[in-house]
Amino acid sequence: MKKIKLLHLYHDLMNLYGDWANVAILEHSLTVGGCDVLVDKKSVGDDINFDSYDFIYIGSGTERSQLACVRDLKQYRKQLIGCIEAEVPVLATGNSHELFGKAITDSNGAKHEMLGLLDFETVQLNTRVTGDCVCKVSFLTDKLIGFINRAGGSQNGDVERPFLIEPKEGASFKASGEGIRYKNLLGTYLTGPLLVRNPPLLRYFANLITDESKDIKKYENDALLIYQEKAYISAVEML
Amino acid sequence: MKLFFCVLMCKILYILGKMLGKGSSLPGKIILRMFPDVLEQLKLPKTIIAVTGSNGKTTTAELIARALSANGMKVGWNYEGSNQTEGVATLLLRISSFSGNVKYDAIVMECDERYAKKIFEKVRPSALLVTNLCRDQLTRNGHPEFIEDCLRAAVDVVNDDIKLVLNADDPYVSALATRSVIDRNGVVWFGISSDSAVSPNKGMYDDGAFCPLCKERMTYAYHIAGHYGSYKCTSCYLKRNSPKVEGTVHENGYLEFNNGLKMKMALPSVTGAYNFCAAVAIAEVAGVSASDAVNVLNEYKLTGGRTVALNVGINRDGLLLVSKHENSFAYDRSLSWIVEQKRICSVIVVVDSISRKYYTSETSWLWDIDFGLLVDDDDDIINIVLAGTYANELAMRFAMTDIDQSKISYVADLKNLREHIKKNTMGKFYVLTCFADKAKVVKALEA
Repeated sequence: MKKIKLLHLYHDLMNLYGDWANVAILEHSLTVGGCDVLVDKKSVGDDINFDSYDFIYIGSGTERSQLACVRDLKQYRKQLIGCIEAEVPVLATGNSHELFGKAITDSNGAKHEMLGLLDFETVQLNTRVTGDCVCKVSFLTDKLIGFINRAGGSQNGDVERPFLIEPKEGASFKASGEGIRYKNLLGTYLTGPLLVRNPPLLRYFANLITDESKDIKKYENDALLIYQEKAYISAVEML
Repeated sequence: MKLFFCVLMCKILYILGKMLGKGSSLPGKIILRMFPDVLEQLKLPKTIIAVTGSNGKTTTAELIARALSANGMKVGWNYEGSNQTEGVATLLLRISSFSGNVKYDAIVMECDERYAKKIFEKVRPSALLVTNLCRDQLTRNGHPEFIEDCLRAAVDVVNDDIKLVLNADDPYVSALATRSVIDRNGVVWFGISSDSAVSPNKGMYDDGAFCPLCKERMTYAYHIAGHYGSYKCTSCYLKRNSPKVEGTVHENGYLEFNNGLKMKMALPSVTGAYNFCAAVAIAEVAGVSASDAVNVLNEYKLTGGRTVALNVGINRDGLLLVSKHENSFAYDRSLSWIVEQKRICSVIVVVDSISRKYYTSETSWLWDIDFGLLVDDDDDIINIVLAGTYANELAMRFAMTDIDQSKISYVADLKNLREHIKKNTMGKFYVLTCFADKAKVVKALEA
């Protein structure tokens, strides 16, 4: 049985929109797929050894939590970047993907240094940007659905923007490219349980993690994954 | 002349709106568009109480209005729940004389958290009650710290002379009391004691793990519910302050105050207890004694009603509990309440529409609700029904709990819910849903 280790980073600090469910459904689908899955939850004050993980996840936080997170994460900068360079799959949802840029300028105008892996900066405003969207993603054929809930503002810089988002009714943003992608690091402003809402993205990460070319669809006689597929199809139609 | 016109117009539009069943914010909206500074010209009473927070605003405003008016004060309040600037404008103009004189002893104005600053710029409250700050309607509100910042900006508008009445048990609310406000004795704290008979369920997330001010870790001596409890930041000054009005919730539904007064809660719950403590604290600020306030609130039944008795044409009790979609804290309290009843029952969870305006795929709040509270070692909960447009999302969420899945069934179309309950559930049935879905659920269920 293949052993898989998942790391949920800052589970109690960056967990604003039911983000924990991303790790839970990944654990579930990998277990159903015959893997022996271990989930580690780590946060501020814990010793973190990045060497042994097959997947790393960080979720959304408040703007103050985001800064607290990067303060702590900086001590592990080399190890985390080492994982990314070694092509370990990493998913950063919501504003956590901003940590991989060079800096964040907050709504008071103060500039905060980030991890600096990728060449982009974020400027935040004291407003909110929210709304449903449907996305085309450069590496998947199926559409994704999601919700954005972030501080107003913008990002500049020279990075691959893998998500082409199309806003839906009520959204306060325009169609654009967003997110970050570098090797197997994927970041997006889509918040919350993205892998729960999107079976294609769940399968993408499950396959990346297990290094299988076979589609994980073969596991879908599982009740939870059947509900997931139904919910996804229904939401895509409704949006 | 302008004032006369505005007041007259508001009164006419208000009556017309009532006859047509329209909301109460429209008159204020129209008048403020024509005369943006009209509210500043009104002669208002000295006692103006603003009530804001994530949960319990309408309920607590009603309790306050009741406590004050039953003790001889003439009270004006926005009881329809229109709590943005326009709603407050409608309230004040409709109760004003044509010369702009609001001859009342007190105004109780429920204020939307995000609009409090705008409202205070026009109407300066003498006291501000903040009930709590929780994850609530995050699609609109962002997150609790964003709302905390909005309220801090609102407090800054009236910082010098306002009395803050704050929930001592909620660190996000406590964070609104700056040192200078505390030093000038500008805060009245209320809270619930550790001796209370409550189930201190923390839920699926821990919003008390880190200090909302400095983001260092917090420690808790005890929890009351969610992030409420006795907390202390390991780094800065934030801590639970000793409440002036502190209630102890007893198992028999009595709420006992730290001054020895006792009252019976018509619908005992920890959230209800907070609302009563807040109302008593405000009443004292407004000049009504705690004993006079408690006498009025004893066994008081709310006019809006958070529960509806249901009859589906079978000889079984049914109770609809009105919670709030997009508010995991409210759902957790309702689920805890059901479990605490220890009755042979079935639980029906209905999520049919999240937004009243359009379809949204945003269901992250379902993952923040601790549905695992329905794991039942005593087998009191016989059946669970998941219903509405979002039945598949609910099914996924419930599949991630340790609940015995054989208890669970699904109904996507509410038209079939009544028959489904009759055929497939046992015992008393509790229906859990939101204000937004209440009317259609009642219609679908009533025989």
